[in-house]
Amino acid sequence: MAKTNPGAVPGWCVALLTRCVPGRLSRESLLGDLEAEADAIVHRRGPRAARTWLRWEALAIAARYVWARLRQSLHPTPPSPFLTHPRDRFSFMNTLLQDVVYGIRSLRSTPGTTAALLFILVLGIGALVATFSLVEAALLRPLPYPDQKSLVWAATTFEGYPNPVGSAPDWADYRERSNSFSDFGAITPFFLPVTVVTEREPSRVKHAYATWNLFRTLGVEPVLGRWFTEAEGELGATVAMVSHDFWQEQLGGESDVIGESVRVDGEAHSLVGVMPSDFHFLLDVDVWRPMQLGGPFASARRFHNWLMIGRLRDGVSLEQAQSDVDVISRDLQLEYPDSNETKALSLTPLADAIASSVGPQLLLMMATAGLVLAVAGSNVASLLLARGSTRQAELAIRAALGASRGRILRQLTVESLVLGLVAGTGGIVAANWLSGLMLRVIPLSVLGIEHLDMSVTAVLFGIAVTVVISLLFGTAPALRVIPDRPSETLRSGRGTVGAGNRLRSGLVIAQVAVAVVLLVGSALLVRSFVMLRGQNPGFSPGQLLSAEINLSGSQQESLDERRIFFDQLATRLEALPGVEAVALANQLPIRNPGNNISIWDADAPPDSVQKPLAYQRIVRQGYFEAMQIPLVAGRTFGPGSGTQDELQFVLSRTLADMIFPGGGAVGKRVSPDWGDGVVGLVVGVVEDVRVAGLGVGGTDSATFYASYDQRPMGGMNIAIRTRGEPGSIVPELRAIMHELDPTVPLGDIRAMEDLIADSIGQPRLMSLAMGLFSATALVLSLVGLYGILAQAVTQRRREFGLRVALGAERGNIVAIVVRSGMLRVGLGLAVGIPAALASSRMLEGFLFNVAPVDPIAFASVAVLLTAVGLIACLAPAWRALRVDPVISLRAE
Amino acid sequence: MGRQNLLGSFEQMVLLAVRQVGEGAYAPTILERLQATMGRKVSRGAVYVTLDRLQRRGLLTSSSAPAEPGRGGRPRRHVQVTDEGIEQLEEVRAYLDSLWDGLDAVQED
Repeated sequence: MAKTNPGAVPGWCVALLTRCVPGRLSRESLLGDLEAEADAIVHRRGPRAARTWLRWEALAIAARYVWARLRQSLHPTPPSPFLTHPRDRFSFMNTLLQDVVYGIRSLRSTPGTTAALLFILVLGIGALVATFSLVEAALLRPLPYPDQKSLVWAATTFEGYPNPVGSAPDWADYRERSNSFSDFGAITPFFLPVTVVTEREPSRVKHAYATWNLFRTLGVEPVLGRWFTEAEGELGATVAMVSHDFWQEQLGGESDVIGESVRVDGEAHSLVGVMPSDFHFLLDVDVWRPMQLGGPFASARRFHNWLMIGRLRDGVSLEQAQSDVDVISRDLQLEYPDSNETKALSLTPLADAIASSVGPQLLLMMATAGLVLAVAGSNVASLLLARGSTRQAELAIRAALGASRGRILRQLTVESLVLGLVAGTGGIVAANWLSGLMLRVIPLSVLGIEHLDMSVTAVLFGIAVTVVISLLFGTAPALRVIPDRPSETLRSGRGTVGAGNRLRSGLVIAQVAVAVVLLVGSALLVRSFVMLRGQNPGFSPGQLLSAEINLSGSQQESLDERRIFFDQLATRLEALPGVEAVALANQLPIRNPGNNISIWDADAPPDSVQKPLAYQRIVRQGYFEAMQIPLVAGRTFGPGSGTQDELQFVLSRTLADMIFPGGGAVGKRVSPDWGDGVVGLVVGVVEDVRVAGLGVGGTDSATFYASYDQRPMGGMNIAIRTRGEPGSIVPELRAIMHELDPTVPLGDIRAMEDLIADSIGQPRLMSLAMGLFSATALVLSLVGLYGILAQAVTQRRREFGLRVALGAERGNIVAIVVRSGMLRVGLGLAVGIPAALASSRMLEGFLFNVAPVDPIAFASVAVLLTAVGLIACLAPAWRALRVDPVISLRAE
Repeated sequence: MGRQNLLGSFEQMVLLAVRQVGEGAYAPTILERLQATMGRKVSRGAVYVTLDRLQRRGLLTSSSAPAEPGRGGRPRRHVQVTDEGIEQLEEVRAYLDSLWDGLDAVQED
């Protein structure tokens, strides 16, 4: 009967109140009152309302009692650890509560230190948990594809080196001839912006080509519609699949969109499928079209645009599959020596391949955050030790009065756990926010991770870290200060001063050593970043506004119409008072990297494998002048170059040297790999331009330029050299574009300087993050150094007083303090420098034009530490100086 | 002679409500009385905690009324203000009265 009564107090409420409310009558009558009231609510508002009311009321009352007990404990005397009555039901909870309260009070007694420690620990735990949540998402979580372990990444290699993209005909051959894969797909690893016109409005979206079977290979079903079919992989089929976002935003999320027609760059495509919302494979794109052999990016064996992904057949091992494709590679080498002579395929598990692209950075960050946290934790330990030695008398009294070692240890443990709990909670909250920041330092978009929510695993990791930190740096040092023989401590009148001091000294040396390692790391990254930023991009990026203009699908259909459009645009823009010059190119440096093909000396064609690769750029007259790319020899494209019969080329200095090592490129004839044996005349040589951004070194500036007049295109990028701030002419640019043709979209307007900053954004953030971490470690180790010196000065006051009384020079006293401080800094350096030498090799892959054993970085760290170490020594030395011999001796 | 711990205002109100309800006062009736007087919701937990505290300080006594149906067979806890409680209430009142003395006239100006 009682069980079916909806007004009955639930069992857990009874248990909770039993724990919180003292006194049987109080408790029982309270439960009775609640039940009676709940009964009344059942009649007025029904059983459900009554149950809800009961739960909340029980919680609120329990909270009141806990709060009352806390407040009561805060006011009276410190807890008496020896007064425990085993029969008292509340004794354990009470003493625990007292320990907690006492812990809070002793932390509150030094509010500045506690706040600083908390801040440091919160940041340390936060940074570690944040990096962990990235590591977890990127490296520990399985890829979101069914049976993901059988997915392999098939990287094309040249002479054994991963390219890693391969050609479409090669893909088709591997797919057909291999028996190891149940499915074998490919995708372009870059996206191409397209204009998509739906029934709603035109929009500029990211688009990629994928083989018809790619989604089937990955095992991801569309939420709507179907995959591409094999027939749609043939030339001529006009179909598209779209992302969930695109479906929602551009197609209104209607379920009947399948079969609807959308115009992609002016051509009607029929929509066959919508992918799920969490599907991102390598790229965040909105539209996929099927690869068609002979179609875009897939026309020849020498065009390498495809990343291949295979799914191993059941029971086929990676090694078996590798030897299978090796045989095919050898066959292809014999069949197509022109294009495949050195080509092969190398298989790795997909998860490993993706992880290896971000793994090193993630692990580096996590190791760094871990080291900072270790320094922070050891500072906590140092502080607790210092407090411990001053508290020895208190602890001895307690021990003498009968408190067991265990009881005192429990109290000290609770104290450090209180600090840890607050710091851990703060750290996990901070991590949630920091992980967003970390994602900007180490983007995981290749894994389809655009934002991160704290996972349960990461929270558990945070809790574990907190507990370990508390126990390792809180309780372990506490063990050293619990008196073994309290009577001796009491008799001598003060604690055994040496207890814990040696440990603290060791901690300071370790902190300095860790700071050295981190500082060297960040010094290397900062130097590398300075090198990156100091590079000459080859053109003048200041006051340059860039945008993309695509005429596909517009009214300008013929090449002549397009040429007229761009001529008019350039003329009208140049007439503006705010515009100095206008450059038009199919791809602008830094903004649009990629697109390289072979080019060679037309009069002395080399062997197929030795044809130099170069970026090809189609530029309109005035390009070099507007971009301020210096001319080295010959001339650039003048007006009317389109009327000349012979093709004209301008080469970059590097390319000219590659093709014509003897010099004198101007006037020679070159042949780009456009097919049909095209030959053109080199009319000029210009300085190199960093085409792909400042981060990539080597021969990436080999470029040849063709004239737009001779090779017109539909889509061009525009760069406008302005007189004032580049953004200021955007309204006029829009107005002119609108007048010329309102249907032509103006895409992605950016100042060139912003693009350059973006291209080195990641190294910048990386060196910034490392800099912050190492600065934190430096400050922490100095705080530790200062703390131990200050305490030593206090403890040696009597000695200093005596020395001064006996006629010691003040300088000697300062020397004693500074020597003991600098000895520790020196030892820290002695340990830290070799450790930094060993660990800086980890950074090798992140450094640009800086060796991991860069002497400047090492020397500057040593000088910096010595200098700031001296400063940290001076304050305590000053205090030692002011010791008045009379007072300090009388104190004894 | 002044005390170290004067009654707080909520404590005074609870004690007075106990006296107002009179014989058989127990937590729900005290709560009801307080809410009626103050014209707003009063936390049930605060009343229980205060009753316990006042009893610990000897200002209230409590007695158990026999178990009755509708309460899961649980007793009621009837409370009564002790002489000490009455004394302290009057002491506070005297302080307050003397502090208020003459202020009403001033406020009317």
